[in-house]
Amino acid sequence: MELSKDITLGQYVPRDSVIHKLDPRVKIILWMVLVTALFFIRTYTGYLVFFIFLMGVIHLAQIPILYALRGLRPAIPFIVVLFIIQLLFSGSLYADSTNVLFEWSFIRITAEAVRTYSLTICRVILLFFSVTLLTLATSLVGLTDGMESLMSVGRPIGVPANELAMVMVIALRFVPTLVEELERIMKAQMARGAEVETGNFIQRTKQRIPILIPLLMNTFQRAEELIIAMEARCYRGGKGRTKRKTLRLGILDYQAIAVTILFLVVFFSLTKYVIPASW
Amino acid sequence: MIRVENVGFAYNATSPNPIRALEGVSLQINKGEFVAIVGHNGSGKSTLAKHFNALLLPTEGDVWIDGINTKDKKSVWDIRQKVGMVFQNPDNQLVATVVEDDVAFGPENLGIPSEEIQRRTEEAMALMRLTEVRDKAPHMLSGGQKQRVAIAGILAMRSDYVVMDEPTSVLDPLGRLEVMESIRVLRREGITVILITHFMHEAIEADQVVVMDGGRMVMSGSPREVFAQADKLRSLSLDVPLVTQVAARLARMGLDIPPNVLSVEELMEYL
Amino acid sequence: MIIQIENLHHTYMEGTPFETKVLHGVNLEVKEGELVAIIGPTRSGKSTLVQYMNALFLPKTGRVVIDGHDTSKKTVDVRKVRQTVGLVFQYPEHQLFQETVGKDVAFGPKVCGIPKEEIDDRVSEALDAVGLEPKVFKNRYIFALSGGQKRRAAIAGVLALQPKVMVFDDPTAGLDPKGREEILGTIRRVHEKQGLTVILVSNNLEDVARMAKRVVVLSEGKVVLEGSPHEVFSKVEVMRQIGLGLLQTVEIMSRLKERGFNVPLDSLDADETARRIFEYKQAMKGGSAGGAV
Repeated sequence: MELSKDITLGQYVPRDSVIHKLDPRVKIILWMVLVTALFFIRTYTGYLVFFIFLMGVIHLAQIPILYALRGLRPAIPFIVVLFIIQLLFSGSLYADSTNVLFEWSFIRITAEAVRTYSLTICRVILLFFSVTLLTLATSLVGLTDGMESLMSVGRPIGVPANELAMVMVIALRFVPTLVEELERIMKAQMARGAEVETGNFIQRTKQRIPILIPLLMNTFQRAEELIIAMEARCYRGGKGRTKRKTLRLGILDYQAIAVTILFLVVFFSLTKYVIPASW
Repeated sequence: MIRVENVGFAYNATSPNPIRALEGVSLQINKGEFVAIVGHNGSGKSTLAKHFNALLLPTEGDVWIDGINTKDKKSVWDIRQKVGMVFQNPDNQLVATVVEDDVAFGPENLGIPSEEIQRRTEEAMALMRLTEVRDKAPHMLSGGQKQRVAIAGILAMRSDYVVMDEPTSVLDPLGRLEVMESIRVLRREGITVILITHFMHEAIEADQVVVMDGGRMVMSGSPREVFAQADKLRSLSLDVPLVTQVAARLARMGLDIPPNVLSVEELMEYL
Repeated sequence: MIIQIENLHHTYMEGTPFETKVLHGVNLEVKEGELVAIIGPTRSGKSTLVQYMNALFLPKTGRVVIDGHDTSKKTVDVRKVRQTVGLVFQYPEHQLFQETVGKDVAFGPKVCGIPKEEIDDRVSEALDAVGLEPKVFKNRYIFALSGGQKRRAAIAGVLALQPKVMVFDDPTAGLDPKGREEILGTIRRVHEKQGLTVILVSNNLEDVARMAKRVVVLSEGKVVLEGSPHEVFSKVEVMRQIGLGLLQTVEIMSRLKERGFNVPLDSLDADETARRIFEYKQAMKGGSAGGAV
């Protein structure tokens, strides 16, 4: 049993690639731009092109594509269930559709619904994919430094950028530790004969108590010790705090911005004027 | 210099059932000294440790750090900069996601310019031999390495005193050696080290050994003086270092060896 | 043979960029009633290895047979294996979750379907075995226990399953000398009085020297040394080279040897060390005295 194996989200793969070298602020902003762009795509071809673009970026980041795709695996059942439910119960939204594919009692599946929800699924997958991409190729430190720097724009209006970043850093710092601990507690209870993940809903919830209670208690204990350790090291909030690193933009960053803008311009021109809206 | 004057401490002091943890402790630690505080769980040694940097304030008596009373609210951050702490569990004291950032955490809190923080971080990492793992995440390190990161973090704050609260008790043998070696490095840098431990052999190199039991200081002196009283230590369910034990047995067998031998080299002189 | 491990391999996070080989063809046999210690530096694969003994991992390459149950076979009854081998993890007190000691110790037998009357007996027996007087401790709240007591309560929780083999993963970590004595005493009682096979994984060489009849040394996923404590701990070079360091007594002896005292290296405690040095001195005296005449 290895819990950490299928979790690609939030896992950083250290490589010496162009993507890794980009300023985290640039990466975060470009990522936000791309994610926003995702919501304007209305065609399968569009998603396909976008997907290929992201693949290209993953390749540039020297991350095995199969590994990047693996993270999707645990999400597949949810996506499928979501798709089916939406399809089955959304008939009324397309009441005047002529393209009815299937109809029985209150269930009414129309061609429009199939298309809309398929596109939604494509969007969810790509969204997930782009988040994975950002975290696989940006160290946690980079991410938090970038976020802090971007958020500090809002400092004059009272955004506690430093504190928020600190919360993020600590959360991220303890994810692997807590996953390890969760794994150990689960195994310890299994070694005592406990079954994990069998039976009906109530049984399963009951089975989780022996795991969740110790995990929670240990987390509180850790938090308490951590607070003492931080105070001992003179932490008193963001006030008067300075940073070791100052971020600066380089040529590579400007190139990345240019490439992304170029891609988006070409991409949306194509979808508007060349690719038929029904593809 | 650290002065502990007649300190008493109770947890939940204001509640109807306060728990007494320290009773009339007086102690003086000079700059550059290495002091080992030994005793078992519940002896008050960790409670005492937390008094050195104002994490706890005495219920009775005073603690003075370089002439500053730890009860002086305005000076609390000065005291914490002067006195760094290393805790038992290396997992719960590292804050950042990579080594380098963790070492920089302390100085960042002191509001020092970026270049200076960078310089101190580099120096501290070099002293603690961490430069190679500078961009590793804490959970990828061994226990000994994690403790060295914690020590480097204090070095980067330029603390004059380092208090270590059972820093080796959850480590493997190699990790324990790493921590002891780090203490030697700290001493070479002129830093005062206060080591709380229940491993007696870790106290051999100390200038002063303090034995705690039931919240009181029951013995203190040089390791030679303290470890000469094996019987008294045993009555507190503590032991003397192994070399000393061997020497005592040899003396009982009729060899002419004093009962307070502290090193193999010394033992050899008598053989 | 109650445990038989043949050519066992294990890869951590297989198929990801973080893939690491943890075990490289481990062979190990444990006889019923033995007390075997497994030592090795951090990341030598000790903790992974013991999880195979409890069927928490099932072998992909190699074979693990526990009391006749071959865990590499698809038909293996994992529950039987887990009832045969009790595994006490590092910091077992972190797994306590009930409010009272008695309830927590009863958890294992309860989920294994043991009848209620028998559970009560088992809980009392297990608490007895770890030196927590059942009358006093059964109804005590977990949070009212000391660190060492919590750990013993957790050990009782595993003992209550009445396994044939007990595996302890670093059972004395973080305890003070008193707490350590209590845990070691518990392990000795379980081994000697109840006749259980014990596998002791430890980072404390002194504990191992005192407890084990046989020591297995792991390094980088392989068994590099095996034998009696005397044999294993006197292999000064290997122990240093794999980063385990030396037993304090052996350290003393090897330093003496470096300075020309020809004493044997394999001494495990203060008594033995003193005796050997004394014998060496007597022999020297006798030798030089004889020479003078």
